[in-house]
Amino acid sequence: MKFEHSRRSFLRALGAGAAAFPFFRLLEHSAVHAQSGNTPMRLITVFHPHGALSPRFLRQEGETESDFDISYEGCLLSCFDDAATYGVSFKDKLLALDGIDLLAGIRGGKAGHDAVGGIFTGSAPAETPPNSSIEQYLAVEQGLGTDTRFSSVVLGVGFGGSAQGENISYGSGGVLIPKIINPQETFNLLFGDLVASEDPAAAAALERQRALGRSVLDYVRADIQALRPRLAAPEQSKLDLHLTTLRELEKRLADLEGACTLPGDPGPFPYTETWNQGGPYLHEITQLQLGFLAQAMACDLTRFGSVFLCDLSRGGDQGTGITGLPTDNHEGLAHAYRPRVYDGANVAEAGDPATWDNLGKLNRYNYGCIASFMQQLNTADLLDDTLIYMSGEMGDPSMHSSWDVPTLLLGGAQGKFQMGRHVVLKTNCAMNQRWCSGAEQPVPQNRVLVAIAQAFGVATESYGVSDDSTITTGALSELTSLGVSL
Amino acid sequence: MVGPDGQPINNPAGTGPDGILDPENPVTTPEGTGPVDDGVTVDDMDPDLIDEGDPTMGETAPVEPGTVVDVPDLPEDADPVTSTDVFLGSRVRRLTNAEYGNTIADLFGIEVDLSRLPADGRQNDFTRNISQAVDPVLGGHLQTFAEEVAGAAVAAGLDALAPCAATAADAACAQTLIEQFGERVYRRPLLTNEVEALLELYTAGADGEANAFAAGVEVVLQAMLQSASFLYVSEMGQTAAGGEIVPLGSWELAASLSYLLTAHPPDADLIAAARDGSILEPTVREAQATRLLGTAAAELQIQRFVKEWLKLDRVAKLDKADDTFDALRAPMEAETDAFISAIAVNGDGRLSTMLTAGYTFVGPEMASFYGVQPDGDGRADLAGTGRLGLLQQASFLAANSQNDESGPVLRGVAVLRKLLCVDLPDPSENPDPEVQMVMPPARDEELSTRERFAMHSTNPKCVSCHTMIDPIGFSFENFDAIGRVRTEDPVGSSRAVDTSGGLNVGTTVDGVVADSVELSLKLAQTPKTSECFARHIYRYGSASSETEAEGTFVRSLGEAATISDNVKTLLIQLVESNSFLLRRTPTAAEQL
Repeated sequence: MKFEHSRRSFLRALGAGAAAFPFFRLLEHSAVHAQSGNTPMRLITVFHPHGALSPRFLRQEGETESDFDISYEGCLLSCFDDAATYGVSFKDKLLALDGIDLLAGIRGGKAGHDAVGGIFTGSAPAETPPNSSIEQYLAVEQGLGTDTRFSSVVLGVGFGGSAQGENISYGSGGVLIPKIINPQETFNLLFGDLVASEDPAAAAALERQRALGRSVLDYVRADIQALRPRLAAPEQSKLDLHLTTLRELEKRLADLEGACTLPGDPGPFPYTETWNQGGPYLHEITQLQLGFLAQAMACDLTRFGSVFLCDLSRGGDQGTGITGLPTDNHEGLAHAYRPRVYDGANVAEAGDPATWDNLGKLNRYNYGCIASFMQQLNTADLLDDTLIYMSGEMGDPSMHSSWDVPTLLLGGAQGKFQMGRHVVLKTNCAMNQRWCSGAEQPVPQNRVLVAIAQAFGVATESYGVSDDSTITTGALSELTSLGVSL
Repeated sequence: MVGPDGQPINNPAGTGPDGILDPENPVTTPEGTGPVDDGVTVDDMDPDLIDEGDPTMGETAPVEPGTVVDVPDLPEDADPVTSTDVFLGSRVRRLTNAEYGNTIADLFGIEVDLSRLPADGRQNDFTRNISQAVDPVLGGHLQTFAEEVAGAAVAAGLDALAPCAATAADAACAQTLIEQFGERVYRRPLLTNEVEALLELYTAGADGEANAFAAGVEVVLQAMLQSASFLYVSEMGQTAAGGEIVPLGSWELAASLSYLLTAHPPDADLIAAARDGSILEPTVREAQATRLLGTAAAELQIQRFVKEWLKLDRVAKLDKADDTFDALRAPMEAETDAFISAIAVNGDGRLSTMLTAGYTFVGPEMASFYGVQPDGDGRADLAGTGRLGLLQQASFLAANSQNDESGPVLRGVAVLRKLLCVDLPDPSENPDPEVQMVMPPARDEELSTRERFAMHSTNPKCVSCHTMIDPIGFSFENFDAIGRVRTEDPVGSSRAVDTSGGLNVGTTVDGVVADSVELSLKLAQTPKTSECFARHIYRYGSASSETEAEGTFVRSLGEAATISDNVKTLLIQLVESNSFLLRRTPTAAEQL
């Protein structure tokens, strides 16, 4: 007997279908707002692979942190100042940071691709990092995701693997939180069982099924709790994630307050993984995944998200209008890139701009996807209550360096950060002087994570794990204050 | 390197044979590593070919002989435990996706669609590992599977699970089902309070339903299939006292043994040995292991071990620029499976044979790819192909290379880490900031792959590692990114490939090689390879990467030169060992 996975049977039994409207336009009527003045803030972490073309990201000569241009030809950030495409300019909802170093990872021996798992954890991932990524920390460990149906939603595009370098979300103790890469699975998870029914018999059957479901979860919880006292800390963390899972499953058995318009079922995709002929679908999958996440935020199904973006490898044009990308965007693009080499504020080597175009195309594509995502949140009147933290794993992709990683904070962030700025934390170091000496101290990225935790009301002075506590301690004060001059 | 007496082995360099083979005739099988010969053990190995170890390359610090420690409940014929022995902590290991599917199939005769589950997390590239957990996404799938499987089992008729259902489908029969079928689901007898709690679920599910028995049992099965007792293999030991070394329980041992060797839950024989406690005796475990190793499930499991060890299972998901690769994935995997079965399962079981076999097993696609003529059974002689054994198979070469180029560093690192257990530091771990920069040499139309990598290895700060890595990697330069033979590098001013390389890792077989075939012959002759193989058997079998516990197991195998490279021998030695039997319970300080 072959058994196919499908939605939970008791829901299917209700027999009603979701309204299959394009959800994009429904957002403006469907945002679920918190009842009173204390509006919760949302956090979405976004990873884009292969680093960024820093000469088209870094603040230009003569600009200041509040007076800067991102609309020039070739600028990676131009989508954030493009009202013609995205309805409004997001320049006042952007905080670009030059000079962030993934220092905990570097010090722990994990740079380049190996740094991926360290970005949002502020640690050096061995096979996995030792602690939670920031969105899991806030949503689960700090309980800020408790009130929504899903504490967090972890999505990806094109890469379904579990290896180091393929994931950015980790739970307590560094337990891997796998990402969903199939949009239909995302739909089923977020919206598949939100089917209203007018039939009282069906409603009664549903309530009975939910009660039994809760009893089953209670039984499983007791089973785990019987094991837990006999185990050491790492094993206990593993079981704690299982207990978190049970709480998540239990929340899905509750009624949902308020009305929310549902997106349509995207249907199956023949291929979703880059290695396995998924290339031609990556663009459409990206749009769906981000659209579902925006709708889930608008419906207040979750307040924490994580997105692992794709690199468009093996995809061709895909309707993106992007042409000329190599088949393989790792070897053919990142490694082929000949960087501009800096020595302090000076350009020591010009690099080869002829090798920059393709990396820039990929970067602009991924930034553009997030601009579109911001447009959807803005339509749902959520952007001011949202913080998006977007980063790659590398500063210089050709050298797989995790120094000077172009970093973006986006959204209104409820005014917790001073947005609308392009801050130079330090000038780029010379490539052979990575531990910048003298006044040019490294800027540990952990300080961004500490500042985010504090913005979410957590009284902590450190984030991440390193044998050097100066790396993990202290908030990046430049996020909240004006007037840094370099 | 440590001898069995705990003293470091400190032979002067050069006491072993030089091991350099006749370069005129590299494709020969060295003495003692030879053609299929069932039952060959290391005792048969030519003593002159044994590398007695090297003082500079030891992975294990010298350990003073320990004093014997009293372990209550230690079976009489188990080896004594000493104070220097380190055992894994009490733990629970989540079933891998494959184990989960096999277990559902064995219990219910139902095949679930595992492709919908998130990929297994990996440690040391192995899917069997202690880091796997039940996160919210997986938990949702497992909940769905539990509901679907329970529904299907009920629909199929519950007398298959509890004969009483055919005649008296009532609460008493439900209790019988919970106790008897539950023992198979939990791989141990259920505790009284567990039976009671499941009966409560039965009552809640049955209440008010027309088919009360089926409705109640369906809820019971849903709960069992989501419970930790089902989803995790328990290795807790028998008591809860803090910081003590304890043997696993007999039911735990039966399940651990079964999943290790077959990826299936215990069968009736093992359940009987768990019930009467005989499984605690090493000799009984050896007999059970020998029996299980003869099953078809064990064959798949040995294939899985070898493939995960060398990352060969990645062939299924590799992304290659070469468009011809997609059509070769399945044939490459089939070749490797057949090869592993012929030698590791049905042949002499030895790694040295896998490294030096002058034949492989191919279908039409790989026959054409290699340019060989297979016989009616698919066996093909590799003479004249430049290939020999596992390391020149396309699956190894493709899995350990870049998207569109040969990747000598990847191949060199794979051989060093996976076959020689040389602990290569990551460049970025070096305190020198210049070395921290991982700098793959830039693509350059004027330079061949070899020339590019040779340049970066001239940096004195990189040389200490790359003098080991690169000469190994270069010896594979006659194979491209998908493992196809090539005579020219696609770029570079001097395009003819140069496969000269060498082994420079402190073994007595160190020396130059003309190509990777000679390298494989050298690897087959050093006990460092056998010891490393034993370490990987341990890492796989114990689902762990704890180095001290690993060292304890390796010491239990005796002197380095006597360690077997027979996969079945090593698996049996593992299940007989105290490392398999014993766990240490946590102290209060080690808990959250």
